[in-house]
Amino acid sequence: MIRPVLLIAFPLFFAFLSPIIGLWSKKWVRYLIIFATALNATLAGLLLLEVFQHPVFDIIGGFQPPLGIVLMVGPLGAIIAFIINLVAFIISIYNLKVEKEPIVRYSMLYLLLVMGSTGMVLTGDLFNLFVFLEVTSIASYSLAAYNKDKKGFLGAMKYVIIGSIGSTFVLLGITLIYSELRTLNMLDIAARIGTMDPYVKIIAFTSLFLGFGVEAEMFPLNTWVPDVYDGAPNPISAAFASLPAKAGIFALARVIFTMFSFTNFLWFVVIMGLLTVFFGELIAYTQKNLKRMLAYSSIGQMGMIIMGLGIGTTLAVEGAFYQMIAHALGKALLFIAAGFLIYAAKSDKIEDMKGMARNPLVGIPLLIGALSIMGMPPFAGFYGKFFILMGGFSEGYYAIIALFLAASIVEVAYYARFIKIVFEKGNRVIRPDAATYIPLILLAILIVLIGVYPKPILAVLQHVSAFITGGA
Amino acid sequence: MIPYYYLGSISLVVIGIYIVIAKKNLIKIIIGLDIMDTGVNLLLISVGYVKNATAPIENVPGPYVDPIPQALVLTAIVIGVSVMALALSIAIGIYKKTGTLELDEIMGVEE
Repeated sequence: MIRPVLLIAFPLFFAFLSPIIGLWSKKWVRYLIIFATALNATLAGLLLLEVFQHPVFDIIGGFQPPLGIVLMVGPLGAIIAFIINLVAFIISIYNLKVEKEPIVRYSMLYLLLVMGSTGMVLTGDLFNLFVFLEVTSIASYSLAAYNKDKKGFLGAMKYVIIGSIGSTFVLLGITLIYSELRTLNMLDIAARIGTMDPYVKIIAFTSLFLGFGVEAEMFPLNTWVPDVYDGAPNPISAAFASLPAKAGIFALARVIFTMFSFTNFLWFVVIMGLLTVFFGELIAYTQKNLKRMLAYSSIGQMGMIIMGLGIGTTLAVEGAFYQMIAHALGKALLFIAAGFLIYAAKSDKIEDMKGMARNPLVGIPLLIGALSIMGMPPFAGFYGKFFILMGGFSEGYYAIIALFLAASIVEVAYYARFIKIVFEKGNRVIRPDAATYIPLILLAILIVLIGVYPKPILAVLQHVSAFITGGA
Repeated sequence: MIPYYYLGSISLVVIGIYIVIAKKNLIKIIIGLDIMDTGVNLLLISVGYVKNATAPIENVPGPYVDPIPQALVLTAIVIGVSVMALALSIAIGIYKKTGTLELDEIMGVEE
């Protein structure tokens, strides 16, 4: 039996082991992160098999809940943790391309980022969730400024300011819940949420929603996203789109469904999601810088997930989770490919990248990733969008569905423009090295596999109906 | 009735948010973040307050104050301090690159 706490303990152990190994050999630190993330992904996969029957509760330190801290892993949490660790493993191969020193600290922060995101998904205690949120944020702030240039520092500063406001709001929400219910255990809160004063309940919900909305890239709180993604090193941009963003949105889902089982308040979530979609997709259309375009596209995708959560039917929430998985894989792939294109073109403007993706080792995965993000049928991204649409359709939200489809058309337009430029006949074709094309091919295989054979994912997503009604 | 210390801590949060939004100097913005953090910590610790109660120590007769908010606020303070340290070090980095901490001027400076 796998204890979920191992998924948090191992990265922490390896993170603080890396400076010691770094004294001896810097090269081995890079392989250490690959090993640590591979181990974590394996453990998460085994955990996923285990929680399939019933949720696993892991009591930390021998203190019984509701007083002690408990990890609460249901099938949905396990699959998000698995995807996070799998993508972290694949990106850690691409980390071999990072040349800027200090590589030891970089490895340490990267492992802490993985550990914090995993912890946010696994924990069953509200204050513990806040602590993991802060671990993730502090690691992300430092990694965002890792390049030590003006772009990186300014992005990180913006992220620190907005992130601190967000975590203050999370703490405010936790305080309000504690003042009314005197408990921090999520299931305990869920059981007694009805006895809360309705005004305090709404203020607490809004605080938590806004606070986790920062990590989940929700509309008014996402101005940091393009600057941070643009200024961070290339592997870190890929990691940001897949690890903390997914952990944040899963925390949001936990807040909406597990803790506050609102049924009539969800229109608010739908509208925030729709605004996020429009903000992201329309600005992405106007971008000339590749990484900024991908960052705005990431905002749009996260908006679609928030919308799916807001519509709140089983089908729509299944779609939202499918979209989380597809986006984690697809955006990681596109950011790694973007890293190669920027390196090959020696410029971050899309127009300078004519013909840079004509090498099949980059071109084919890039095409698969872009088509999956657009939502084309044989790839992973299709099911997510389709389920969200069907969920909205069955509820009769026709206007929202129409706007969603309009935003998707904008998305297709700018990805098509990008693909046309990078596959045009150019002057020279640059061969990628193994650390670039191996992660690309691995991610592309996963996207095609999930798209062609969605049965295992759908089997996990069956548990969504239990999740909506307040389960783990 | 709402106790006055609730109003005090909420007003600290509001003052902090105002500073973050209105000020153009990075150091002042970081101070604003710290004030906001302090306000929430104060709210958290006052939630556990019980009148005429003592700290929950064995062999000391009760009534006791709620110990959980004290444990939580210690954690929150440590986290707040680390975020402030990181924010200040990023501000130092910005100053080294651009020679200014005013947001209006930073945007105009070429690296």
